[in-house]
Amino acid sequence: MKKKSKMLTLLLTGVLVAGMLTGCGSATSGKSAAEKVFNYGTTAYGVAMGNAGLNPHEGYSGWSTVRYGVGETLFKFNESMELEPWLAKDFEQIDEYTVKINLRDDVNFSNGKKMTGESVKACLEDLIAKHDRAPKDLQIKSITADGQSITLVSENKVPGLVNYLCDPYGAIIDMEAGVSADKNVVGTGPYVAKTVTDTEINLAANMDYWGGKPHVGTVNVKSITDGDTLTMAMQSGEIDATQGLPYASLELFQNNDDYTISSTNTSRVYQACLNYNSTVIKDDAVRKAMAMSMDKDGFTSVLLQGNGTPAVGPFPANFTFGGDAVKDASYDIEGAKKVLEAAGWVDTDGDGIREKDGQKLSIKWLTYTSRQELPLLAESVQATYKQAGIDVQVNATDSYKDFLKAGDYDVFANAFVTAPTGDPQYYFTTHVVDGSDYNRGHYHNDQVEALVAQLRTEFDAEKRGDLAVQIAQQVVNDNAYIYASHLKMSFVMKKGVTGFTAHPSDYYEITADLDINE
Amino acid sequence: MELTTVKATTIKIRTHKKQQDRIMIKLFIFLALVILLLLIAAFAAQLVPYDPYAQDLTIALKPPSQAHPLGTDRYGRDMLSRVMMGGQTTIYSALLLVGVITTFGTLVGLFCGYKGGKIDSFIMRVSDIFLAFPGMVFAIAVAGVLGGGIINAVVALACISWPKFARLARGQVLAIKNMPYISAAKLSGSRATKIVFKHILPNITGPILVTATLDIGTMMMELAGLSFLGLGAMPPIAEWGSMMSDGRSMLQTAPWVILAPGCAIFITVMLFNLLGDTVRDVLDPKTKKRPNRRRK
Repeated sequence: MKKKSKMLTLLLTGVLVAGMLTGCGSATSGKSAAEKVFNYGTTAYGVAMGNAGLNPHEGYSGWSTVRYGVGETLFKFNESMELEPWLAKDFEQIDEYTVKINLRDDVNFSNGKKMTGESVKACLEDLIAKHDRAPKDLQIKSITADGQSITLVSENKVPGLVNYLCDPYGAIIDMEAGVSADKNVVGTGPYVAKTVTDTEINLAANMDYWGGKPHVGTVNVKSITDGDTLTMAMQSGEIDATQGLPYASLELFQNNDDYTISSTNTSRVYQACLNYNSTVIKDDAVRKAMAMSMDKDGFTSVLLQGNGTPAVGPFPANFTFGGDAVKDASYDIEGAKKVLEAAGWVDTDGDGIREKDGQKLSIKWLTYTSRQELPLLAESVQATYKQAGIDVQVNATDSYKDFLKAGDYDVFANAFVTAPTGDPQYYFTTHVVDGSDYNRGHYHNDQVEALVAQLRTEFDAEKRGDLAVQIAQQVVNDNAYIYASHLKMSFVMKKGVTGFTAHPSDYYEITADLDINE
Repeated sequence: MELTTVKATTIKIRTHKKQQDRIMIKLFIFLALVILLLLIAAFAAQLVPYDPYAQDLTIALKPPSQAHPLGTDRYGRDMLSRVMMGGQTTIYSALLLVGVITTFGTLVGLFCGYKGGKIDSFIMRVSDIFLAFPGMVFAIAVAGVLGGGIINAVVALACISWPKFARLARGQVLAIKNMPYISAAKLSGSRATKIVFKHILPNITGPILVTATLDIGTMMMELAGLSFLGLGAMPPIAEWGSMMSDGRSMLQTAPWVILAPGCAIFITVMLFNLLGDTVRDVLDPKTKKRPNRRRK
């Protein structure tokens, strides 16, 4: 009797486990060529990312409008982050304050209405009236429309005006149709959103798209914020493509014939901002030793598993003013030890941590965890800095803003897209000048101030590049920021998915080229 | 007929004695294993084959080998050394936590049970409030407010776990307080503190000890859970929960990184639970009343 009940228990457990495993399995669906469905899982959509909804005039939602093929901007970036016309044909810089933009004549909104100078004017006026960043970037005084052209007059000289119009907030939407309660809009793109929620967007092809018929009928964008869930969704076939997989999971799909990977270098940099208000950090030798003790190659090749490039300055190598254009001190622990010793930092009590005037060389490293690479960087420097005799107290918390406000940090490490508009000015005006929004290190250098002021009014692209190199070099020389690595972004997709390519700007994901060939 | 009854009773007593012996053997085995575990954890710093915090990126994520029996993690740190060192943090934090809640909860329970009245009602209502919250959720909230760190995690869990012991102790005190020997003590002029600590406390330690032992495993799991969520131990401190959390994304590519601390938690929690069960069997009052126990 006992045996029987044991057997029965075992049998029931087996059935239960089998049932659970079956539930995890995937159902293969036969897709007809006419009704192709593309399921896309991403970590980059949702309330936490500040881009829920499709209204480009609200926060970062424009990124979703452009990424998922609903809206398009007047100009766009190519692979080298150079300007290309999109909804516009071309532009003329009439004088230092005035730009005339000529629009394409063959563009319709997805509701069939034609895109004209007037509709673009209405959209841009709404943008500068409602958006938080756009008015400061564009500084538009007036907009006039004339047929298929518009003329923008700015308050001050804005050399990067056209670049700023490529920012997803510049996506052109039909203001007469407006923004629906669920934050849906009418754009000009290859896809039309049917339902929009904070976690999912369901799109249908816009068969009258001006740039050609889309090849896939339905696209479902699903927000999956947990990297492991995303990995399993990809493996089970629940989604056809994904972005934002943990690095550790990427190798499951590399060298696997069932999947294709599209990767590109982006201008998202992992940087450490050194707080000049801290007495320890104020010491030039300490900052220099910190810069010399960061193992950027090890961090990139091992901890990011090669999904990045070691950074020197704020901009990556695909910019003329980025990559090796700036020079930094190489990784050299022994050299760092000498620098510290020369400055009087010596380990007197034998605990491995240096002291000077009774003060321990201990730094508080503030960072957050929502970018998976940042805690890895913190732990990596913790080990290498210790070799140089610097103690690192890591505070990896998602309530980091409280600590920033309280000024309770020596280093703040974060991730930042340094050139979202292909232009260097944005990074410098937000990070290195007095009173800028993200100058968390309270860094000040007279020469940098002067060079940035020059950059603000310089229209010549080459000269702007030169200025950018000079500023970045000065920042690196001062060790105000230490740049660890530039992120390599990867899309993983099932074999047969084409026209889905990672772009260095991180703006363009779903286009009319997307196709599924089974 | 009578002879049969005697025989049956003798057999019963023998079987029971055998059972008792088996329980005692079990107790000694589990106690020995737990002590061994505690010793390993206590002397982890001296026993570890490698420095558990030394990074060597050139040997990152190496599978188990002779040099590294449990493999290495993504920073090239030896997993065996980290699991041993993590044991120190995890096990001793759990013991500290259980110690704190047992002492505090018992004292509160003794006080309320013995004193009674309005203060008792008030403190019990407070404990009701704590019991009304889902434990882990409340701990997450407390740890979130206090910030990360293993000590804060201990504080967070202590905040939510003491009422259980307070209620248990109070219940026991209420049952004992009207016993004749307490009345006798009172009549003989003993002070309240003496009665509580000399006459009541020794008589309620049994159930409290059993609950505390059984709680060690649970608390260890909850501490590891908080660390897993990033609210417990901070990097680079080796702690089983945070080690599992670190290795989460590598379950498919480098499973040893998550399996090593996972198995350590599993084994340790199981050992403490088995010990708790056995202690309960030994201290079970019903067992005590059996004839063979009395004869001893």
